[in-house]
Amino acid sequence: MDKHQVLQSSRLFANLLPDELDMLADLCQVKTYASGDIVFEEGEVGNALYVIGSGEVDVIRDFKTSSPKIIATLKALDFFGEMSLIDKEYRSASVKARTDTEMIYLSNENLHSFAKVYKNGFTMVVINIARVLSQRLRETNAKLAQRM
Amino acid sequence: MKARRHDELQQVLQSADFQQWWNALRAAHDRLAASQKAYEDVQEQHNLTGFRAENAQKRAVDHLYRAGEYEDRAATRLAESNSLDNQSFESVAAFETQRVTTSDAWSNHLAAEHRVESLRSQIAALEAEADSKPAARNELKRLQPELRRLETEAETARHDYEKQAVEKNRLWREVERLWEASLQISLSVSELRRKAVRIRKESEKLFREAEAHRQKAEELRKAVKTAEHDLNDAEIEIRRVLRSASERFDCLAEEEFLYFPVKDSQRMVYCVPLFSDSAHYNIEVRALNIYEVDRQRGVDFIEPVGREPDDSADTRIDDFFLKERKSAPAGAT
Repeated sequence: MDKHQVLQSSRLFANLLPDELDMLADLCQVKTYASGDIVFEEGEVGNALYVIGSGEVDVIRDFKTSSPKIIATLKALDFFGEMSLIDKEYRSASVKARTDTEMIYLSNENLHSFAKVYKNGFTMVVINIARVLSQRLRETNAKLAQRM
Repeated sequence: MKARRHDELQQVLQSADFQQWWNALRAAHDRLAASQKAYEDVQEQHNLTGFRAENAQKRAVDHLYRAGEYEDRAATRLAESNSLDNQSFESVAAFETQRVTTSDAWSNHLAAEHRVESLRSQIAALEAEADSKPAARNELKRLQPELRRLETEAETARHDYEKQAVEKNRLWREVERLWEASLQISLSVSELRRKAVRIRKESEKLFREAEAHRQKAEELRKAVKTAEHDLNDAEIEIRRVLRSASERFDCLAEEEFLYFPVKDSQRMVYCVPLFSDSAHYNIEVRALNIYEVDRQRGVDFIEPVGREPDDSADTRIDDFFLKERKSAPAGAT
């Protein structure tokens, strides 16, 4: 998997400059999961975010109960794990590889290293995360309005 | 150790002296890798040959036991065969006795039949004369009971003969059964003996193979010692080259990183990896790049350095806050 290619193509890193993407490529690690592998579980401490390079993952609530619910299926270039980065809470859902999956792993500490050097670049990453969270909130609001 | 700025450390890494040292380290690592491979190869051959020797020895012993088992089975079968031969001799003797008895019974039977036939002829002649000769009638009266007695005797003799003949045939079948069984066992004895001989020869061959493998393993053991010696020399050479780095570049040289104190910092240290690794550290490290680590945490957390962004022309944040929205539907928040 080409880390640069994935970083350049992901919404999470939109509007970053080439030097910033270079540094992020150094700070990211490639992780591979076989179909069925657990990436992380609900309730764990969140200390990294992930960008899918290839394959698909399921986001699952109540994973360890008798009635787990798949709340989303994410595909290549989607990202997840960003909520714990912002709110410092524990993981709100479990993530399980639906297929063999390759993803980019960026730890909070490494993102901090990035932030220390490229403040504007880090701000852009935060804005990108906020954009996605905002979009999700709007979608949720719209669904709620339809039901009321 | 002398504390350095980033650009000073870059100069050290780009110097001819450092390049020479780096080439020496790479040559030492190449030698170590070659020695390691040679050592592992010869060690593998040694282990494999030792295993083959053990395996051949075990198989040889197994074969030897099997040969012994076949020899024991042959001896047991031979004893069975001898016993059957003895039984068959006894049965033949019993048959011969029975044959004579049966022959006697046959003679008795024939004699009794003959006596009956003679008396019947005599009675028939007397019956022809009985009307004219009173003496013949008297004789007939006397001979009639005698005929019945002789007929009974003949019937008894016939039954006796038939009984003896049945016994004679039974004994003959028993003799034949014993001969057949004895023959079968005799044949299997020779077969088992030949098999025992063959397996014993295979066992001897395997013992020879085991010995050859042991000799080869001994030669390889010496080769392992030599390879181990070469490997130790290569490791010593790497340690020597690393020690020389400490002296030549005034740094701390560990097995995989060189460390240089950062000027004007009590907390941070520059580290220079002597290898590339994309998987086992918090970031992807590249050989001879400069990174920074905390003195306490060491390479548990490595940070890139030497990036100095020029934000003067960067308008992205301003653009985000100051540019107009693309579209704003009514009621949007």
